[in-house]
Amino acid sequence: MEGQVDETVTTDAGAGHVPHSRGALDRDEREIKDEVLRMGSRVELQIGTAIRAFVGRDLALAETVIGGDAEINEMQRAVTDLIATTIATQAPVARDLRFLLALNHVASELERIGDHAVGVAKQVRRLPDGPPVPAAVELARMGELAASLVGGILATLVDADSEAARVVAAGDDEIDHGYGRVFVAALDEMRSNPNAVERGMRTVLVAHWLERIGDRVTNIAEDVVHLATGRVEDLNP
Amino acid sequence: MSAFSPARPVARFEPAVMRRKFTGTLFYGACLAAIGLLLLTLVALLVDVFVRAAPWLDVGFLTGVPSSRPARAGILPAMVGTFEIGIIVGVLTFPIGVAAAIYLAEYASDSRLNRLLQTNISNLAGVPSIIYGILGLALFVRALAMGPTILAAALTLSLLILPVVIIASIEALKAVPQAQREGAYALGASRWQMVSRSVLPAAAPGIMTGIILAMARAIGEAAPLILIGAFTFVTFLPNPISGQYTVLPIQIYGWAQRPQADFQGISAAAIVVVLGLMLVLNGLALIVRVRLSRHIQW
Amino acid sequence: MIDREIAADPAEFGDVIELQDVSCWYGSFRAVRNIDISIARQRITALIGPSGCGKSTLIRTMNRMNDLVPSYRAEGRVLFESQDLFAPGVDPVAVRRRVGMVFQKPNPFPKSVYDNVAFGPRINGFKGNMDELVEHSLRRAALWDDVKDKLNQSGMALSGGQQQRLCIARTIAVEPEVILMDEPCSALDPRSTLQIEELMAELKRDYTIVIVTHNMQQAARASDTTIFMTMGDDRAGYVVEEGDTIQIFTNPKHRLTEDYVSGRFG
Repeated sequence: MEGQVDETVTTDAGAGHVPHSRGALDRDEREIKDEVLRMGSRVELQIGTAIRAFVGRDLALAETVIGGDAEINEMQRAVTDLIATTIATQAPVARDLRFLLALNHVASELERIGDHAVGVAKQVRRLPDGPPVPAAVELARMGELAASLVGGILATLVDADSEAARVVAAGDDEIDHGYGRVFVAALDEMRSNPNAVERGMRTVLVAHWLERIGDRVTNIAEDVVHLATGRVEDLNP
Repeated sequence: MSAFSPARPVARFEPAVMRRKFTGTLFYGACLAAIGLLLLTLVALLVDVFVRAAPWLDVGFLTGVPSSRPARAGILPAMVGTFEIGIIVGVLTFPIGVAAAIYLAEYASDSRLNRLLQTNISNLAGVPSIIYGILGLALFVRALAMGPTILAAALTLSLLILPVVIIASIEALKAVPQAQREGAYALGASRWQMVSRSVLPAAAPGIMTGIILAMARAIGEAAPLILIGAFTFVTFLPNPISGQYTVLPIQIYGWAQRPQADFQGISAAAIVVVLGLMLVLNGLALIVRVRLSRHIQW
Repeated sequence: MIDREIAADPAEFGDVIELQDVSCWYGSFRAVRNIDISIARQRITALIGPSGCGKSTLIRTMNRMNDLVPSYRAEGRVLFESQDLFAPGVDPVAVRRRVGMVFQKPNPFPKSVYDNVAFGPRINGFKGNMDELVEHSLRRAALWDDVKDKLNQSGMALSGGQQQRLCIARTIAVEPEVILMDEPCSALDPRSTLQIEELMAELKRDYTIVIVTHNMQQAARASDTTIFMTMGDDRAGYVVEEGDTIQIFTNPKHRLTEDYVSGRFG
């Protein structure tokens, strides 16, 4: 495990040093982790669906995203309750405690990411009829990337792989660039066509949500690094 | 309320509750019978003695001197003799016995020699008292030429009860928990301070009780004193370092040997006095124990 | 949360006790080996580890209480205020006044409360106002209010928590510099335990405290520094890690320490 000295200080295994697991605590931790991963999968799905709804102007799809957020909020509440109960009853310290605190924060970030997906879906409701939105292809790409980042970062959570977490976090840069490109494209369109202003504004909003999703993925990556090494690193320079 | 019915049939146990209760009751009955027998015997003895003694117990009896006529006989010299011996025995055995016990319990290491020593002392406590009489005769009366005096008697009886006092004191000292010693040491006490200010006060009830009871035994002894030369007919008050003396047990012995019923009577009266003395001493032991252990709770 | 503030001038803090390559033997059995630790002044240091790893042996070496065990022998240097406690001329009786000890099971003397507290000063030749000293000690041990009307009653008639505070009061009556505590709360109920922990936080202003404890939460709550020991294959105890309590319980350096504080071994 990173950040810890290997037991080469002494060659003996030590009398009575057979590590035994803490059954109840380990079960609680597994359950919490599974619930967070389930939550992450749902959020990943929400993002993909929301951006497809926006690009394809599919109102019905957007409504399923908006309706599906309630379940994500419920899952986050359940995770927090579970964590509070585990802390109260098992008195975890060191790595166990960092794990629980990290997952609590991850669940909270996932819930907000879910809210961002809803933000995207709500723009579909208000989008006026007309031609396709500017930089639609770019947007779709950004959306897919955001969804895959969420999936990716949750994969690193499973084994607390801080190296992989850093790699995923680096993918945020691509989203930031995408945001820049969409912004410019929308601006151009709005400058040349006053009728396109509302369409352009809403497009920028959607890109903004996606960019925020990228930032939150980076936050989650910082949690994974802290869990693995016990150190706090800023992956959002 | 219904009887307990288990969900599964209890096939593996045969409680036989009735049989076990019966056995228990039988045992309880046997214990009651034993104590009943004992009490009965004791009561019968006491009643017999008191009935015989009643007509003879009066102030004159307590303050008079022995006489060939029972009606005029008294036990004053015997009582004085008993008291004098009792005091000397107490004064001698207390410091020697307690000091020996402190050494063995607190200072001596747990070596084979010391364990042997303690075993020997235990054995000495069981030696018949007449053997001590022989020792006293040879050593104090003859070799040290003290003659048949109260001093010689007191020294002999001291030797008799010294092992008992030592053993009782050692037990009392060992009963003090080790935590008390550690507590004293942890405050910067030297070994002697720890013993004298922590262990000894804590063991005091046991030690005092042991001494008082041992003294009660000593003044009830007749056999060794007969050997050393206590008289059965002494009409004057004895002088401790010279001359003749008697003690209550010997006086009783002397009177009881006479066939006349009257002598049996005054013998019984003297027995009652001795019983009274024993009662007082045991009561004293109890009071001392309670008073000294008022703080102790282990 | 117990106050963990550190004095404004850390340079004031030297180590009041230092163990250099200390090994302790009972006859031919080595109980602890090659211990190198230091106890910081006016802080609370907790000694934790599984049963039988030598924590009690170690703490009893610091005030030479182990001398009472005939087969005991210590190697290495045990420095108290830079003086070797095991140097030839050193009298253990003098050491124990300056390094006091409170035991696992409260052991008040079967004497009055007053006499319990006065015992130490009397044997150490105290010449001053005993009444004042007794009251002061009982106040510092947070026991005065409970017993001020009952000074003549038996010390053994107090409750468990009160008895332990009485033992603390009589220990501080001789004005030691260090107070060693060998699992002082393990025989007490939770409320008394917390009272004693708060008392310790108060006492550390004036005394250095070393506490052996099996209670992980207590070590985490109450101490500034934690030393983790365990038993090797040769059944001798050794120190695995020594460090700031917060660090030991949030992010320890050694895997063994991590496992132990998480309750995954021992």
